[in-house]
Amino acid sequence: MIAEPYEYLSTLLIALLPCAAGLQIARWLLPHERRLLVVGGVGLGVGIGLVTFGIAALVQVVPLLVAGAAVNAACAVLAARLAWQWRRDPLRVDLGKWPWLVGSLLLLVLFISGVEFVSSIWHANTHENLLIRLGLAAHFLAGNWPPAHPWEPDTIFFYRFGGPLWTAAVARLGGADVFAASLSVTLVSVLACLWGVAAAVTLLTDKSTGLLAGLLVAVAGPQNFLALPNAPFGELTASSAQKLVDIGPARLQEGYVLSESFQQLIPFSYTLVVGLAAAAGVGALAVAMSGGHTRLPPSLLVGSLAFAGIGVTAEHVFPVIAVGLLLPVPVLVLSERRKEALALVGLVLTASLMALVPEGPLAEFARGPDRAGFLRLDTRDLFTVPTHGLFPEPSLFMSTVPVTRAGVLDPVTWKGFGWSLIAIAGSVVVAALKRRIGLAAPAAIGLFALLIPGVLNDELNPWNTWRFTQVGLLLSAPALAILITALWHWRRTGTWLARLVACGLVALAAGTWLVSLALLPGVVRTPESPVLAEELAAARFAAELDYPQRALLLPGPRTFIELSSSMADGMHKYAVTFGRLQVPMGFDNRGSRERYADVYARAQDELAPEDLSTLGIDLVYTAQNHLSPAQQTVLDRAVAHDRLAPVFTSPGGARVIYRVVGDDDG
Amino acid sequence: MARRHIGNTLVAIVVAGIWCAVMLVPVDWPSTTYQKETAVFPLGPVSADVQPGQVFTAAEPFDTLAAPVRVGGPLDSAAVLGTRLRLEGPRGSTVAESASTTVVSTHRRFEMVLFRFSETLSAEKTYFVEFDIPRGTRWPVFLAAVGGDTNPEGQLFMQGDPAPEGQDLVYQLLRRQSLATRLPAWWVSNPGSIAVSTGLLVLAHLTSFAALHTLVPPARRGLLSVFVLGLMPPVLLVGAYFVLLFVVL
Repeated sequence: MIAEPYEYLSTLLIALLPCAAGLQIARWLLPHERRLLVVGGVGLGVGIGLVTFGIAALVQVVPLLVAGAAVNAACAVLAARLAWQWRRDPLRVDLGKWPWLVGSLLLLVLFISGVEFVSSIWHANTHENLLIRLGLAAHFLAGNWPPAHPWEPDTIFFYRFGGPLWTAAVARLGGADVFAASLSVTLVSVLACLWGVAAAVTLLTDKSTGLLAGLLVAVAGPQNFLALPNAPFGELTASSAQKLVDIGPARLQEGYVLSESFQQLIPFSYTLVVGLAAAAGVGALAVAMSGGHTRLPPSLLVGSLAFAGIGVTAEHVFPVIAVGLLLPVPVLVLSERRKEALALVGLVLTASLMALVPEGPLAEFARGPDRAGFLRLDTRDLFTVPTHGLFPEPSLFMSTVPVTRAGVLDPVTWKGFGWSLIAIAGSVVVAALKRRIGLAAPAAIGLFALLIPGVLNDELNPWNTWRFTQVGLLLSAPALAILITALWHWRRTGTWLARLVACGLVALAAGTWLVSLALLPGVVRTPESPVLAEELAAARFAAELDYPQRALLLPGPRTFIELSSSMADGMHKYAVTFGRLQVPMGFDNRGSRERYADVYARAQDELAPEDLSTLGIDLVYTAQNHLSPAQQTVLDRAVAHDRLAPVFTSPGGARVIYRVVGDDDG
Repeated sequence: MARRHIGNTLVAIVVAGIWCAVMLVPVDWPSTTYQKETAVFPLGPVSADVQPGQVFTAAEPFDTLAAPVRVGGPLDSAAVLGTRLRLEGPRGSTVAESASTTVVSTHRRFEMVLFRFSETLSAEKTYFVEFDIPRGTRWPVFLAAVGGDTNPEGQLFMQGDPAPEGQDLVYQLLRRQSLATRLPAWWVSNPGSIAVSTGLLVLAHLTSFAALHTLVPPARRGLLSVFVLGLMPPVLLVGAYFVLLFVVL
């Protein structure tokens, strides 16, 4: 939207470089594997894991441009090698009768992903991407390392920065804005994630199941569509459809309709998709390793580095994958395949060590366990999941009463995710019947992730452990694919019944995604800011000032709830992200709110020089069209007393930026 | 081979026919929003002596006015209602009268009633709509109204006098148009939504036909199976299409 057309192309090509490099590495690691579905699935995810780890590790010793250039130069060499080798020895596409369907579905999923991401930036379809993820990327681009928190600039931001860091590198090398770069990173990560899942399940079972698993990960979601008959259709409108789409996109944007689904991750926090892509690649590589299909020592090294990259993109995925990799070890030992068992253990141990290299959450935890004092292990909530965003108040698409926690097997969980519970149990049964323990792997890892919130309590944000629930539900999609394929190929009595059940399970898993497709145009209906051109003009002005600049926003948020809102046309998000401004207000209760909150609130109310000085404020950034009379009076008085000097006024006058005039200036 | 070609041609003809119908068949498109239930209260009983009305400004041409009506008798009791449009206000000249409509009492709180005018009324004008409830109507009749000044340019009137400020009748303006004539206006106001709708529909068609091509083996692509399978996705898509087009309102 704000980027030039070439920026989309250049950033897409640069974001694809690690994938091409990963593909070449995967060719080497899997010497006897010729299927593009498998090698590509391993390679793309591993490539993304390697690039996020590589940049995060290197940027600690060299500037971002050098780190990004070094990693991407290595990727370019490997990509060139891939192109050269492909001419002599191409991989087999081998999708049988599926290529058209796979291709068109992939296009559809990528299109939806792109729309969801765009709407999260410009149309307030959730706030996290613009508020903090893209904000971090923009600040990285301005040279913010070690990463000062844009909303708590005296503290270091130490978690989930891998995606924004890669985005910043892509933007820098592609000569583009962070928006175009993040869109490219998101689309490439979605592709890599789905491909990685398909590869892993193909290695466990067969091609059809693998492709179905990839598709189900993309489309599976809660069974909210079952509540559609309860919708309050059209009593006060001549059009039921109008009512449906008026409520629908709003619920879609709030994350309730597709809660916990893969599609909902994209507008929520795209860095999680980057982490999941790496996880899928590492998972597929681990399956290949346990099957004895790889060169073990290099696979161990490459896999552990890519795995370590997950630590800075989606840290909660790290322990889930670690346990997932360790689960088959006893089986491998019992079946006398000690070398493979040792390799998997080595992969987890090496990755855990490597994850300490970047300044991520795992390194932070290792150096100061007290930083994680808000986490507590106990069994009071055993076998329950937090329900944040999962079962909200009764409304269109929902018909359950709000609860904060639900038992894994409670009726409300069956109502929301019955297919998931059936998939986990069913695929274990299939594994037992077929005597192939590997078929139970997705179910076992998914169940482990689902059970984590029952024993891990977050005392600051009790619902925060829902991220594990989300991973568990995502992992139950491959389990469902295994169950469905088994039902479809059922050759004993009741073949048609088995197929009917298989179709029903697909409908349950994908129904909400399918129904909500029609609502998608609604999420790009109304831009968040009605004065977007002025907003961006002000942000551009701020971005051209020396970095960093600290700003006070007037009016602006004071609480986390207000941060995650469209308050004053969402000005705070555009100012911090596209204006690269630091706003010392305190982010959430996990950070340093108490350090900033009171003085920032007072500074907003009074614009007193001592408060502005305490916070180190350089600029007062105002939305003139949202100022209250009291705020206008305080502002006018500060200007009249020469404590503030206007330095920028947007063309329509909606945004005015003032420079704080200090004693030295006077 | 020949059968398959015939089947594909039939599918193409059916899909093209459906799309022609979608583009050319006139539909009532709402041009104003609607009120949320929470703020609504029943207004009435209204009658020939307690006549309700509403001043409003039409942003777009319209030919139908829809309003929620409740007939307060036992189930299935009926009342005949009509509306009259005046220019500017209650004492303005009459510009149009709708055909009379019979409203029946049901289990629902309100029935949405369409009052159609014989001509298209022009935009950018201020109108006053008054409801005609014939004298002698047996059952009490209620309309829906809303407080909170949700329609700042509008004003509720009772018996020719303005109600306290901030109260409005619940109504919607509609215009019967084909999609072909409606689309250009939407493109101007909501290019993003239209672009996403178009992209989505193209990809959904592509996926449907890829599914058809993949899941039905060539040997089993008889005329009937191709016809049925080919017909289903477009029908579903057309349903979705109508839904998503309302998004741009």
